[in-house]
Amino acid sequence: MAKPRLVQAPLPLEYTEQTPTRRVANHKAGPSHLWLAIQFPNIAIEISHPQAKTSASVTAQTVKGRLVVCSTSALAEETGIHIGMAVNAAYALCPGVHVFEHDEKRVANTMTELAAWAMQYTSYVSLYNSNTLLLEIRGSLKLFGQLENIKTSIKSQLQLQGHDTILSCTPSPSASYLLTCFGAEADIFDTDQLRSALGDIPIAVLDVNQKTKKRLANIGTQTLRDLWRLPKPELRKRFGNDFVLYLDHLTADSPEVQKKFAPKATFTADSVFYWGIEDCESLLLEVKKLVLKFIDYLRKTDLCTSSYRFNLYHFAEKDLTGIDINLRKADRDVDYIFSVLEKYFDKLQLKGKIYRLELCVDKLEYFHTKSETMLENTFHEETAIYSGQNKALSELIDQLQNRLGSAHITGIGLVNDYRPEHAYQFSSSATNELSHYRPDRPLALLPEASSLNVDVSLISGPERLQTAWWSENKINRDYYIAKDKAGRRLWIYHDLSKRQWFIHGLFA
Amino acid sequence: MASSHNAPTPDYAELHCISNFSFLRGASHPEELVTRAIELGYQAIAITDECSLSGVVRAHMAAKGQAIKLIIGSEFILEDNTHFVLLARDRKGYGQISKLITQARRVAEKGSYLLKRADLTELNPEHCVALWIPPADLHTIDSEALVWLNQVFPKYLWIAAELFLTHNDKQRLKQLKELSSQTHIALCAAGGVHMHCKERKPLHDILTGIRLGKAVSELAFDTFPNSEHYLRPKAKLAKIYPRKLLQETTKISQLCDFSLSELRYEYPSEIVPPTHSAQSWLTHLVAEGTQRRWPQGVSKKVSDLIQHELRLVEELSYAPYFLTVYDIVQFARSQNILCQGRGSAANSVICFCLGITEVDPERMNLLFERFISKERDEPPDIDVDFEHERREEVIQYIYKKYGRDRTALAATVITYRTKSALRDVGKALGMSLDQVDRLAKSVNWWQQGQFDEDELRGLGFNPHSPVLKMLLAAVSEILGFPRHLSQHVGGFIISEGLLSELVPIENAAMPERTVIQWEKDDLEAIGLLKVDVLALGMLTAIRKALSYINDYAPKPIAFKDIPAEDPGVYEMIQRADTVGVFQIESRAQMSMLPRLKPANYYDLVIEIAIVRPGPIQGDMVHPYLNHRRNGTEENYPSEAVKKVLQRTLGIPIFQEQVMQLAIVAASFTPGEADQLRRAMAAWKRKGGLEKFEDKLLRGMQENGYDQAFAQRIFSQIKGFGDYGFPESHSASFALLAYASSWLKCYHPAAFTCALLNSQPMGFYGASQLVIDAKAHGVTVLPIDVNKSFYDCVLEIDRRKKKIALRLGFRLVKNLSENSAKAISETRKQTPFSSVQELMDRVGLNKADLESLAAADALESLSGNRHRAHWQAQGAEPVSSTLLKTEEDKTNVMLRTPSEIEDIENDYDNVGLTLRRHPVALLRDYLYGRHAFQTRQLHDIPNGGLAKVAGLVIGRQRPGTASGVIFVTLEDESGQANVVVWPKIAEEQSKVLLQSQLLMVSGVVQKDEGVLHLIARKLEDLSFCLGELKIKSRDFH
Repeated sequence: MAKPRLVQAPLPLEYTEQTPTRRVANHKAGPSHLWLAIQFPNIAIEISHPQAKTSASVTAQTVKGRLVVCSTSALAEETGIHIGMAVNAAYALCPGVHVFEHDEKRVANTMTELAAWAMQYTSYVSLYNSNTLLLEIRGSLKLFGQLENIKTSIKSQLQLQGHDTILSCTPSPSASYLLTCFGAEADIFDTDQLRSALGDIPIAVLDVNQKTKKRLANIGTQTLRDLWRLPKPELRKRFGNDFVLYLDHLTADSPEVQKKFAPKATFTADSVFYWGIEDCESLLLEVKKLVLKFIDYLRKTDLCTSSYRFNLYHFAEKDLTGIDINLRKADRDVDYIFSVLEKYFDKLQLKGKIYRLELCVDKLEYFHTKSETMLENTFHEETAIYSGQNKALSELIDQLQNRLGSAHITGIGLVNDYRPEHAYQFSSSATNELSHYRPDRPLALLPEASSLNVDVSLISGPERLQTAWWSENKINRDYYIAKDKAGRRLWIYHDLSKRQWFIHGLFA
Repeated sequence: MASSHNAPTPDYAELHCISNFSFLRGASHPEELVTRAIELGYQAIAITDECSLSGVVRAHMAAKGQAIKLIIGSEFILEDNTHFVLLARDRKGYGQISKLITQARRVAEKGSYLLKRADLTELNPEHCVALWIPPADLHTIDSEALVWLNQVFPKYLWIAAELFLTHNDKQRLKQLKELSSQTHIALCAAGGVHMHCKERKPLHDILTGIRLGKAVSELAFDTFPNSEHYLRPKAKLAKIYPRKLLQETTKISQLCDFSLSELRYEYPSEIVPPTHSAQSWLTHLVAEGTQRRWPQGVSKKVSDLIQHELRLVEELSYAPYFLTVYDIVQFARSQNILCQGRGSAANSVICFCLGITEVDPERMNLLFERFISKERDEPPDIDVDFEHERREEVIQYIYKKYGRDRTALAATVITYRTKSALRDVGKALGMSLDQVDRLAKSVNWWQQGQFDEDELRGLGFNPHSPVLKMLLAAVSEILGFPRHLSQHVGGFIISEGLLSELVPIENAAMPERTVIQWEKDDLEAIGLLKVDVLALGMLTAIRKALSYINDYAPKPIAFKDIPAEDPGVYEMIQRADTVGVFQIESRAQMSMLPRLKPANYYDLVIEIAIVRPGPIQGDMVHPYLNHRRNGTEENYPSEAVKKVLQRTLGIPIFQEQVMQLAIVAASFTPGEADQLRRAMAAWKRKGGLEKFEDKLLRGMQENGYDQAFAQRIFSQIKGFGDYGFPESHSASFALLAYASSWLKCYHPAAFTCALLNSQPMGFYGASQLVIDAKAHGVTVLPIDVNKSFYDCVLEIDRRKKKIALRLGFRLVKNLSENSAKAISETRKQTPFSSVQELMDRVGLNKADLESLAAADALESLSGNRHRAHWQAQGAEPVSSTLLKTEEDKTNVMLRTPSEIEDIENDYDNVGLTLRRHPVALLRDYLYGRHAFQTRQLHDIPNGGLAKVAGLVIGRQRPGTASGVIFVTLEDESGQANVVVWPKIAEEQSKVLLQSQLLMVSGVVQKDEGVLHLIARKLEDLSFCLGELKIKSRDFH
């Protein structure tokens, strides 16, 4: 057991900004920072599907009601498809193109993971934008020997993870990024070399808004070199302070603030199974893989957790099964966690194939946090449904659900559906919503309607139900309340399509 | 109970029935409801759309002459949810309902209504029957609303018992009976009908889904549990309702004795002086007009025609109609607004005398029955075109003269078409937005028509999926369903009394515009007067061109002074040199001109009519051209037929000829012939030509014509289909085509200037118009901040007798009209010497300055575009500095723009360039690729191989050309017409549709002065253009 800490540092809940302490004034002394930009030009494609990169694929999302291409694989690009093009147009150019949903959240999560991964090279990592990381590596040069070693290591490791990269290193973060955008892999150590290295970069690549680019094109400037010929006060007058400051950043004439990446106090990771998983054994294997990744993260960040949320996605993205596993105390012991998971997944019944597994943890604690008693931890505020006099009942339900599994303790709720067999549902959080309660319907429906083989006399009806024609469960029936010879009141129907009689329920 | 089994099924009248004119609620057309009610033997049916009478005319037409009574009514839901139906007992009751709808609709936003209890207090309860519709939920039945309704309609109120085989029918009926006995208000049966047959239930659910923005699977209790809201057979109703309740419906129906045929239109009276009757005033005006038109005296033919027309007009009491149109036209003339009547009105000598039309009856073979016919008993239809920029003045005049409560625009019913249907139905069936989008977008002009399985697979769909089957089934049903009302392009209805008592009026989308709830066909069916006040761009252009000419011509010239039948003009037309000319400037027209070689006005009339789908599909073009070329004519089976067809060499080209043939050869009356014309227009959609076939063939046989001739004439009539063109229409258009040709021929600068100042209009954009003007020797000068005005102007150098066309600020992208006018106004004192000064003096903002810089309008101040932009960006408004702003004198190093950059920016910011044609810059490269200039194609013999490259300025895929695509290419030497056969188009569709700069290899085809390049290989050279963006005009 590790020593308890006396003074606890605040949790790294947010990114923090860090301004370089020393202004680059003395060029001869060399710049204080060296920024390595790692650009992931194909990140969205890479995470969309394992084969996406090697086939004609695009990712797309809806913009102003139109589905447009957001990223393309090299093969797709060869067919003429480009970013911003409507997906229909892409189909016209390449009928066999694979279109994947552009999942910005997944891209952001992956970039966050990569930023955390990159912290092994330096403590100063910045998540520059949606596809670029900036690493301040001046201090790491000693440790790794030389820049080339760092770059080789980064490139090869990321390649193993399936990521294409463009790396550039300069004393200016903006310049490093700009060079990667231009596709240039440059190593510049001296600020004096920046001007000549950047001079040929076209205006179109600059990290400024489209309007500014258009206005720069209007005055005939084509490259940064053209811009440097113009007097700064005049540029400031026309394009504003921020723009001139940006130019100064590029040449490291002015210090630049970069947000320092800090691991978030939440964790999200996922695995995608294009073939679909349908048995618990295979699923558990994948769950363990994710958990191992998570534990690794916990160790690196010195955190732990007591609550896990697994989302099992079925075919449609909205169709998911959520599993919450709460431990008695926050921990990161692999064996213990695995044993809990095995018990849980052993009794789990999958309702269909799983195509994506997601682990979300949003309560991270420092590893040596105080332990809670079993009693305290049994009830979470979030799971409490009822209040007041029902509290005791709810506590009992919670307790039973935790012990037996939530699927085994359910209630009945009414659903707005004309079809009797779809007009109720079992759910773990049954509500008291009974406004549509119909006394003329039996409380108990037969699990399945059966043929009516006895003589009955009709008491009331018909109630005609013809609906759900759009689904396999369409119905076309006349319902009656009837009485059999034994005096039982039955709920029967005449199937108007099959022209057959069925018994569907019994009145008490 | 036993007695009811033996008793005959009681009669029934459906009193609560909504059609699809209760938008997205009703699932059947009004006609379908009426027809089904007839089949079921109902005694009557009421069409009671929600706060609307939009569908009643269609129902009226379906019920006309049938064994059913149509009751006119409407359903209302008050602000407090009181739900009731009003049925018109008589004309006054109808007027009340119409007024109530108007009142409710006028206070609410377009498409909705708002009605409060207080709004009903003024109704006279004797003229309507009211049915209270109790709420569906038994628990919310509140007798208070019923008591209130009973106070409003003390004598004619019923409680409607609507039973739909739901679980609470029995209880509901019991409860309503109790209510009835408590309140002494009688109970009647009603169907709450939303569809004519139960098979429409899926469509009804889909419509509900569309209305609520939900998928059908999410509708839950928002839709009906079953399909019982349909027109049920009487026997079935007898099982559901007590006999008494059914009998009550027929009793109510007998109380309602109003038919739409009773609506009598009353013409506005202020158009006739007190001392005259309408007819005598019309006769007087016609006599005046006759003197003006024929100062030398009128021929007997014309005089007889006038008498004939006046007699018919008197018989049918249409004089006020002519006077109303005359009044509007007089107003336009008094304001110097060019206008011209067209369409069937051009058949009337009266219209010619009144100055409504300009077609001289002596030059034409008129058929007055095409305009007014006794049998048709419909008001004539006079369309008057006004200058498009000044039509609003005419509209305001009408509103002012007759008042807003007597005038409104006719409606246009916007219906579901394939794309909108696919979108809405797809969404309602739960398809994702991108799927729906993919389906809807693929039905564009390129793919036109229905899906086939391969196409669906190509779009990523399984054609056998049940959802897709449901989609296609529902789409085919929903096509033609009304979606909402919009305003007609210019059809005004004007009445003597309150219009709202004739037809409900509601708000249009445009502020201050109101529309009635009926569209053109409804008005025609009921016989209401409609005056079409339409907008025509060419009239604006002609008026402007004449005014420019009058600035330099020694003698002022007006429209009527344009010399007729000028050979020079026809020579130009025969060369197909008609860019910008009205009607005969399209690609197809230009291909026909050198073949048909119009040499007089009537040839132009034929030219306009012949290049139409009707004559093309009816296979009339080639026989006509052959006769014309060879100086031959068809063999006429009789003198009478010869008289009809001789003017078109024996080939029927116009609708009027078909009508005349039916009259002279098959003994049709003029009115019957007009019915034939209407049937021709609709047979492809609705059929109905068969009854005329028998009559026509029999009539011709009786008159001694052989079977083969009769069959040939009938098949030509069928070929005409929808697209037959009336001679009278063509005659009006030919006048404008000639006038615009004359302007182009003798005053190209003024004509181009006028066209540029009337954009958008016509077939060609500013760029093509300017290129054409330059080709005709017009000097075109660039936009200059020190010389241009908002409009393009002519710069006249009287000393050198030279005229140049100066482009105006209106072409500058993103420059407001106000800023442009302020520039020319301020400049009057002294010209501008710098950009900063321009900003200071005119008070322009930076965006305006940059727009001017982008259009190269500051070149005279700055030297070039880059410097102009630099100075515009650096200019500071006076208000932001304490002292007078200093001119920016910094000498900065800015690159001079290259020619291609300038050209790109010209196209981007002005839409045209006066510099070299972009293709000229690529000429060396293109010669290297063995591509000719388009002009050089004429040097290649017929059948020779050639290659050309040019900007794609137009793609056309005419419906008549069975998949052939026509592409117009433009280079520095002119234009080339490329024909792409379907096979090539399919194989190279990507290149064909996406290229901006296209290189075509193919075979030269020459025929009577028309040159086509038949494409074999297409190559996209757009990459050569860089940033240059040329927008092609793609037409169907």
